[in-house]
Amino acid sequence: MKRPPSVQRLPLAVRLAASIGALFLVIPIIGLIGKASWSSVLRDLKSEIVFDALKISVTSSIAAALLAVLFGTPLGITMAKIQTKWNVVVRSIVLLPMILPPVVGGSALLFALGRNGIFGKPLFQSTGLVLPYSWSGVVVANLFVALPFVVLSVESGHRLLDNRYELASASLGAGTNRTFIGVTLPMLRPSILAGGLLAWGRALGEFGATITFAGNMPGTTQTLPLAVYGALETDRQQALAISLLMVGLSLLIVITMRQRWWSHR
Amino acid sequence: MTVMAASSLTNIFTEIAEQFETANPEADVKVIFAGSGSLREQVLDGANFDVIATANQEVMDALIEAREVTDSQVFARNVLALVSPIDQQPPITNIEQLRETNLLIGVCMETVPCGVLTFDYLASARLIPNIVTKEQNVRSLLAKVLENELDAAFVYATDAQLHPDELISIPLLPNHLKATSYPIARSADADSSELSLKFLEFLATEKVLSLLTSYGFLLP
Repeated sequence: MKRPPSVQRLPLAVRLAASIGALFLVIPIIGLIGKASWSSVLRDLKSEIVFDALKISVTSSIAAALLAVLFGTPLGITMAKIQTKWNVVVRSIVLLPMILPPVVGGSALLFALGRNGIFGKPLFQSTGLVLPYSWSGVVVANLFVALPFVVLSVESGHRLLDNRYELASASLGAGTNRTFIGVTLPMLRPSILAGGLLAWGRALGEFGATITFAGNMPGTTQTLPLAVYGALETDRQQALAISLLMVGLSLLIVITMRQRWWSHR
Repeated sequence: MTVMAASSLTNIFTEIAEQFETANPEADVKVIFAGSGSLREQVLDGANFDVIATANQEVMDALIEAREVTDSQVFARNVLALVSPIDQQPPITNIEQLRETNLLIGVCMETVPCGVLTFDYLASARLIPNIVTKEQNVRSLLAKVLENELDAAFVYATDAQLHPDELISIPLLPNHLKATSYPIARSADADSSELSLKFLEFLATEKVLSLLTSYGFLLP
């Protein structure tokens, strides 16, 4: 009987390249851990700036991830279900924020939603609302970069679904809404969760779009990555300590994501 | 030859580098612009450079202490300016209006020279404006006020002068105003030391001095 190929049988070159790839990803983390003075990490983190930045980072990234799920899920399903010649265009637009330099995204947001922007100006004149320099502005910047992750995850998840369940549900007399809520959404749960977690992770690490669109103000718009950037020029040890905190938070998301995937696949 | 220069020198050093290359056809000058604090960190992290110009003496002193450069000389000075978009409604004409809390005011971070000047001035004038953003360098701050996303911003006099059609300057109280000095230095281990020496000499020529003045810099 022929055995399926195992990892042991991979060519040496492949294993070597894989090791280099893994090492390349580990080295910066080792640098971070090696450079930190562990005795002072807690003291460095115990400052109002870090506490404020942590609060803004966590709340704004969760808000962005929830909004991304709320709007990204329907968009992903729509893109998977409705096939027209416009799909290519829509997919390109959805993918764009993933590839665009975040600082360009931030500038684009400023031109569109800033106080003097194309959409921001009427908004400001009618409601007095200014998105930049506010917590909402941070959420908007986060959402812009995080939304595509949910859309793509849900869209590819939906393509793998067996649409006979939806057909069966419909043939048994369930209406459009009932089929969607009772059949489609539950089947997409793993994709929605994975997309949402990826979106959360991306939002948590957002830097370029945030600083360009929402500015940098401790206590209002300064997130953890912005605080690291500021601390690099004043207090290296604090910058290292905040970086370690971010590594910890990101790891938490990655571990959660793995558990999600393991329990469903 | 690599020249590192503070953000506020962006326009003038681009022009000086071009003129220097014309005068010395064998020279190939690359200018890197960043906030002075960021320049300092880059150098302390081992970035290669031949000449460095920062926007205050403190940053340069840190480099002298770290033996990255040997000595420095001041070639220009600059003062703080408060600018506002030209179509700001209602217009800001008096610095006292900054006490109104609904205005959106931008500044540089305390760690970069224009921020040092700004917070010095604010403390001295006992003024607490509604600061909504602390930018890493004067150029990103300028971009936001030019885009009309800020009601006013504390930048340099030279920045105000660059955009006469888009920005108006609001007079600051002269007795609270200090100038910042721009020191320039050669790398302690410059391989192209002959060329970098030439560049420093070029900065002292009549042509460059009048260029500095035309951009609004004060001479030392």
